[in-house]
Amino acid sequence: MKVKLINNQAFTLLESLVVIFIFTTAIVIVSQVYFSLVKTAVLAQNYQLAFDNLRFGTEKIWTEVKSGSDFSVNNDNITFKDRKCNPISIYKQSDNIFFRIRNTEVPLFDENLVRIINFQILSDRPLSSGAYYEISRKILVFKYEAELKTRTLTIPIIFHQTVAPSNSVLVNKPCR
Amino acid sequence: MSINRQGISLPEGIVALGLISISIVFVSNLAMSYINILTSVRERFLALNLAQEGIELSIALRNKKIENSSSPSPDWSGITTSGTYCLFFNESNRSIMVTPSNSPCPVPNYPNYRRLVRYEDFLNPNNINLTRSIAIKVISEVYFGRNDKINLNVILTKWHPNL
Repeated sequence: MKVKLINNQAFTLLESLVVIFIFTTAIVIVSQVYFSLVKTAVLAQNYQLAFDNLRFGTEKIWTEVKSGSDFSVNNDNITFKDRKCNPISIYKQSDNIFFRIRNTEVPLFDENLVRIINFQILSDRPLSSGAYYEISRKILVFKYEAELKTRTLTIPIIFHQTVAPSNSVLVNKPCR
Repeated sequence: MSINRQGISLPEGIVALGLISISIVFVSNLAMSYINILTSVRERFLALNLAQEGIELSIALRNKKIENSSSPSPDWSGITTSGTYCLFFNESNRSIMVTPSNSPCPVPNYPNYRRLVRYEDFLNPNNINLTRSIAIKVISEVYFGRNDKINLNVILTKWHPNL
């Protein structure tokens, strides 16, 4: 009869310790990579949300001003008439920019995503009297200093928008 | 019955570690590329704003001609010769500054961006004298990043009675 020898030896303490150490190290590295990836993805998503919010708000200003008329500009606020001759005001209040149409006030940006630090409006100097194309403003510059908010950090952004209103060369005021 | 008691050989171990390292590097790069894309979106947003500003300045420059001329003016677009120019809004005197330039000019407050505005006759690109044009093509070019560029264009027409 042939006897088959089977090695029934268990792992030594040293072998077990080495295996546990390698396994723990691997788990720590992989989990760190995973958590940093998740953190980056969340940061990127928040950043994108905040950036989109900023972009949509500023596009709203650009569109309304482009088709607006009868502008009155102060340092951080502007009033004008929109294409349907509704009175519009755009102004900075606390950390946001507000858009007021017919006494209804709407914040342009989500306060959880965008913080407006500075808002300034500049324009050219038209003639003081004459036809509408002589007294209307031909160029308006909106200067923004903002912060994009994510859960973990805030990202500063400074930029400006320039608008040449379409109605600025009409002979008569579009809204009388 | 025999049992394979061989351990993992050195080449096998190296290959396994190599694969794990590559996968970790790949995943890390994936995270970084996500951030890089968003940074690029921000850069392009700013570049697009500046290109749009070039277009708006050219429109405003023509509209300023309408404001200041009670009779038809030969330089109706504010530019008499086709070519490349730098256009800026001067915040101190609140006017539009025009400078002929062959190379893109730095944009104030935007260190990594340069802009050039190109004027040419829309109907006859060989015509240099723009006072004879009835339509002028304005191309606003913004250079940024390593070799990135954004172009926007508009056609200015001589439609107003004062032009």
